[in-house]
Amino acid sequence: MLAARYKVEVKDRDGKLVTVLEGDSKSFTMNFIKLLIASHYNQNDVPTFVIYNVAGSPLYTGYIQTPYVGVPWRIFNIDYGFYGYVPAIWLGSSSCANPALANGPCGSLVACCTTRSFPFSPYFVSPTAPCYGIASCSPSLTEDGWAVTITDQWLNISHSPVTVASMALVSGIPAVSSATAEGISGYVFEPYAIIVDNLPSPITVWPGFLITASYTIYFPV
Amino acid sequence: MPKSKVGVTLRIEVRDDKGRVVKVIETPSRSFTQNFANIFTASMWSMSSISGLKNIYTFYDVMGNQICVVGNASPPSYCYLSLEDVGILFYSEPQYIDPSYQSYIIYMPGIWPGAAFCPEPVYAYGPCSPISTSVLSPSLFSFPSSPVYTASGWQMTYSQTWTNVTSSPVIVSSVALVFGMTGDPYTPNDYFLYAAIVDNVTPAVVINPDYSVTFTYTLLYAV
Repeated sequence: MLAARYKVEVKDRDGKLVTVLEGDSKSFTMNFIKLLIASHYNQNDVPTFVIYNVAGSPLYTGYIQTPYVGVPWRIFNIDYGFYGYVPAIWLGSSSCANPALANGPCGSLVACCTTRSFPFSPYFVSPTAPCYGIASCSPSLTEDGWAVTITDQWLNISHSPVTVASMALVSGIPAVSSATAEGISGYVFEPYAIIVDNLPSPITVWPGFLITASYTIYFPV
Repeated sequence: MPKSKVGVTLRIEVRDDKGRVVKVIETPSRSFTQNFANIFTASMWSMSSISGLKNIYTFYDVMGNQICVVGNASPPSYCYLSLEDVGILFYSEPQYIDPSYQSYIIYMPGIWPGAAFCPEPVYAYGPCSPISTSVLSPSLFSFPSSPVYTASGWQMTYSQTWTNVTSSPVIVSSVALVFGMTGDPYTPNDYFLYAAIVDNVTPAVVINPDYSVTFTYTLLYAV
């Protein structure tokens, strides 16, 4: 059903292209497949699967155990600025042993968020740009099928070179964190990885350099 | 270009009145529909984003009604109905389908047969000339219940059998994989039917009286 391609570009401080990596994505994750399957059902018989957010914390489909996502809702959501996270392509410092079973990019998470505690800061992600500058606003019909591209640009704002070895397309889903007989008492927004890939070789991004990472998903025609 | 190992396969199996397989067709599926692509893209955004970005996503349901996804903006007059967002797009159960489909030729998710070829399946709203359930009687729609990991990728299998309950042969020339979709304010109990995939069956298959035909779509997600 789904084929995806990744592309990673690194530019130096002068905007000169210094690295390009491009290839076929290898790994839709098991977490995504479980959410996808659960989304075929209604609230009365949705199967209970355990899935994991990017941090490795468990969530559940169905309604039996909190935190739960019930019937998973908008599993491809890449909305801007959900709870301090930046959708949609996150980067890790190490390769993953088995990307299909990974919960997100591996090693240290180096690009994910708007906070200054990570070496990469989002760049050109704008609340006023069409689709925030991170995605196709509408699908394109290409010779390979319908194509939707999702892109993030990250600037190394640290004072050290950063190694990037894995990447992930991250979505966010709402989950009920606590519920009682009286009703739902808390919601959280959980980032999870739809796709995880190792880069063919780790790349080094120097301070002030910009890395652009994108996934294009194809639906065959 | 994406590797060819990732894709969709359509298998068609015809059985006679004694259950013996008399014909098998297996072919790559050709056509995710434009409607699916639009629904998928809309599902990436929340209601407030769709409003703020001033995007309007439109698609057609199996009856050819134009449905709009507009956030909290006022829908254009050409919309048959409007949604604020898209939450679910692979719903596969027979319950909770919008009542307006009860009077349609087929009225629940599944793999629908059509009597005619579609000129352009990618732009079709469903199988062309859908065949009535009083002609081909459907079994339950089978859809994935657990992850299946194969050497080719995550495998999702959808299957449905239709039996000719008339006294005349029936020709099937197209099929469509039909799901329910919904979004606010219709969630969670009101699903609209749309065709995610439409394929022509070449050559067309003839289903004799009491014969049955099983359509199976196998979708692979790259690993």
